[in-house]
Amino acid sequence: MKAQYKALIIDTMLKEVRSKTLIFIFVATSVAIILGHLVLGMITTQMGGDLSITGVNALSVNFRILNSISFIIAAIFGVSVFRSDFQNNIIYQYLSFPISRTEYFFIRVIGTWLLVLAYYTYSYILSSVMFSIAFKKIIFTPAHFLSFLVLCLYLLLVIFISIFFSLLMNKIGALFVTFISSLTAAAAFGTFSTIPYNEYFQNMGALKGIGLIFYYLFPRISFLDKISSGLLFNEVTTLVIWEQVLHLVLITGVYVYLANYFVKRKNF
Amino acid sequence: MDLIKIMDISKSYGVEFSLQNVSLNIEKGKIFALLGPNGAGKTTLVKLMLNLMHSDSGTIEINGLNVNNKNSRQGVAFIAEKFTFFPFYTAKGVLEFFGKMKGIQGAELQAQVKMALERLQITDLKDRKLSRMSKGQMQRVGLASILIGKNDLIILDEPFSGLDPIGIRDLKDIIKELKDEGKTLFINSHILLEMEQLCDEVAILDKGKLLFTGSVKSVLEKEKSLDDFFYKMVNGGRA
Repeated sequence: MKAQYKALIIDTMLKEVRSKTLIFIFVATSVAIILGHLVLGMITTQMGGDLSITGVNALSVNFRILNSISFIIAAIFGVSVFRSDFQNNIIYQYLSFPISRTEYFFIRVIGTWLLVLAYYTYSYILSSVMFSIAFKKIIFTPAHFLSFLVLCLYLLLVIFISIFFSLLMNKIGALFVTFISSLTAAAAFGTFSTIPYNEYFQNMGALKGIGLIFYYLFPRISFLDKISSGLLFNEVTTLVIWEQVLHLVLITGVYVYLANYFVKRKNF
Repeated sequence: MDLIKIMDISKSYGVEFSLQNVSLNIEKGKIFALLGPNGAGKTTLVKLMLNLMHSDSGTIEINGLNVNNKNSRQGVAFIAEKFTFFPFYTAKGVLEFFGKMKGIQGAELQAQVKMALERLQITDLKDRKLSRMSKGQMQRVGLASILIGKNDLIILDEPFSGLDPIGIRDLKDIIKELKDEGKTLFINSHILLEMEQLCDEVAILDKGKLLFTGSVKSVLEKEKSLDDFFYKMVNGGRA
């Protein structure tokens, strides 16, 4: 890796790691996982030890919660990574170096992703260790690991989308739009991915119309979430995988192109 | 040989022109001052040179490369009027980061950082975070950064702003040393006396239009001082 890229990735992580939000969520997650472990330990040792759920499922539920928290963290860091460069015109110094705007943009995305992944990996490992101790056996499975890998890609896309919106509006607005659009797209995905094409336009109303627009024009990050969740709970997917992957790649490609265009055309 | 070629550059904000058909050639190894009252378009021109902004028409080349090309910024150092960087960085950290972004690493980087800290007399501040520095100290850190790397062109936007008299003297010495090393300096400034003493060439910009470009020597043949010449040019242009 070029020394410039490495320096900029480390710089991205250093500037964001000081965020009070990250520190709070990091501490809160650690406390929640440790408390969960204590409660589980108390149930298994002092109350007879026969749980109605298995250790593997308990860990899967825990991971599902972690995935949701990681989505929030990814969005928060995504919207702030560029906006903080604009403060006091610090961005002038960055762009006066011999790097292109495209390189600067995508390195910032990767740096933010690595920071969020560090949090996510830490939480995953801590949960696995604590739950394994509580259930007195190793309950981390290969499916958990696969789910983790899919979620890593999901988080990269969440970060990219939130950064994309932060190029167009202020921090609060970008965070709001990221949440609303992701939730709307998730609801649309839940609806349209399970019905046949011929039912798409039946009983068409305003809400269904909006849902259809989001289903086709927003990157289908919910597809990755669904796959990750399916792996956690051993669910068999009924989705047409190639179609979902193709849509995800194409629409994400369009968003990458637009983001690069906005970054290149922006006047600072 | 011209290091910077500014060819018929125009930039407007809405209906108002910030720069109107400005053309300039700046020779290698010279100290060039861009002078002008507030709002003349000086900072806009610097931003266009660094590709921080896009012009409406015209082109700018540095070292024969269009400024849209990232390699045009290879060997270019820039310090904004009020140097700011993330407050968690230490003085040493800033210089190391700037060095790495210019492709310098290892022992060479450490040697250059040490030299820059010593040259700006801020070695004792090397481990102090920017958040705990005064504006003047921070400006010195910014100026130290121009000594990092093999910079052929140094662009300084109001470099004397925020410096105490000792800082101004040190900066003038550094500018002279850099010129002796064959570097080209492009300075945006209001402080005409300092510019008269330091610069080889000047340009005067007002309301986005280039009123004059020539050597300081030629200016002093016409007027007693650069200050008088500047006043006449700007006020004459406005009359």
